[in-house]
Amino acid sequence: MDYLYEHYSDALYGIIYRTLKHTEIAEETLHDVFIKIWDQIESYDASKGTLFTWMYRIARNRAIDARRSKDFKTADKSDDITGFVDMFESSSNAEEDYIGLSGVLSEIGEMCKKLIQLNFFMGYSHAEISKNEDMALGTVKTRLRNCLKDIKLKLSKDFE
Amino acid sequence: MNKQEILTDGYLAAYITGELSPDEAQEIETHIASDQQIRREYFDLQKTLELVAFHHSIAPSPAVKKLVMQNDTVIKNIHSPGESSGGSRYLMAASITIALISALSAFYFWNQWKDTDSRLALLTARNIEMAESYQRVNQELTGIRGDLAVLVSPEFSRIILNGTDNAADAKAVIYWNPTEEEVYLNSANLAQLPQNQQYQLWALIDGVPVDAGVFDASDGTFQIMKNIARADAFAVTIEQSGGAESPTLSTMQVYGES
Repeated sequence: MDYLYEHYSDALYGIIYRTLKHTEIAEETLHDVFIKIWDQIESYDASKGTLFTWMYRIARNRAIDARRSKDFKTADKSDDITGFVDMFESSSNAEEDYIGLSGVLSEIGEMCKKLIQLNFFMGYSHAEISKNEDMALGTVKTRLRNCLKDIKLKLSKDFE
Repeated sequence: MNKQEILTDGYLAAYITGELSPDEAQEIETHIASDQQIRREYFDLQKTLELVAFHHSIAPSPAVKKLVMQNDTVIKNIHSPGESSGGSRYLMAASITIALISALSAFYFWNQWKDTDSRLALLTARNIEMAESYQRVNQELTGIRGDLAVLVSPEFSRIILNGTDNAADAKAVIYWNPTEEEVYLNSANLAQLPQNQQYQLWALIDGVPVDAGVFDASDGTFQIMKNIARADAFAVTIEQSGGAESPTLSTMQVYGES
């Protein structure tokens, strides 16, 4: 557990915090997420995806649930796509940028950054993004896919 | 949904985030299990997302870790029942002693248990990581075996598509089994295209072009194209992403007769 927490908590917290934008609720959610991970680790099935993907999905769903919950709404928080801050702009807080990811991420274009951030980091569904950005649902999906592919291509040497 | 749709329409990303309906997710899982190209794409996507997520991690307050580490029903059991019902002082003293001893031993065993537990967790996590890398190597091996089977099979004929005036250095190789109608393509010697464009393979039958599928240039293994039973020649053009109804001949990159 110590290992899991040390290794993954910061990455998962990055997702939870960006979904909720509320330190206390986000930390509470992170706590619940790790209890759930620990509780269900036996049910993790490596043939269906990586360990990170499995934990990511738990964290994302928990955070979305927390955002929809009553407590959250009474804490005077809205679950609209508001207060969008470009995280790629400011928060490159990884200590070592050993794979040159910063450079790649700064190259991928504003629309890509926004879509990836809204969908993967802030827990908004394709449908919600489509509505908010005034973009057809199919376009959101295809663009997201192309954006991710673009990052992958630019990083491709690291995959080999 | 078919394979092409899964690869181009964002189903895999939606599967990762858990946005698909249970039916769709089931379908994707089947494809991931059975199709090497889809599995590779899925793996790459996961890796991309993981890298980006780690790159944009935020450290939570250390208090959260403490709470997580202490959250165990076991802790409740340390407070053993040491209530006295107000009998003699002797009994009370005895019960306090017993309570103390049992609390201490509970604490001792709890500590032991915690130690074992964290070692187990460490091993479980390492085990999972090992299984993951083993599985990846295994998948790659299966893929390479599949490719090798195509290469050595007498049923497959090899067709070299040479670069046209548009792209003199380009080259592609097709392995074609007309009986089974299977077409495999190696596109390692084609240039990468901008995001909004894709390559499209055409089979020419009596001078009429028939769509044999769109693809991106990729190194590594074969790409499986649409089934073709009869063809006098194969050609590759550059089209908008998703492909075109008929080939844009002015963009033809490579061509080869069967």
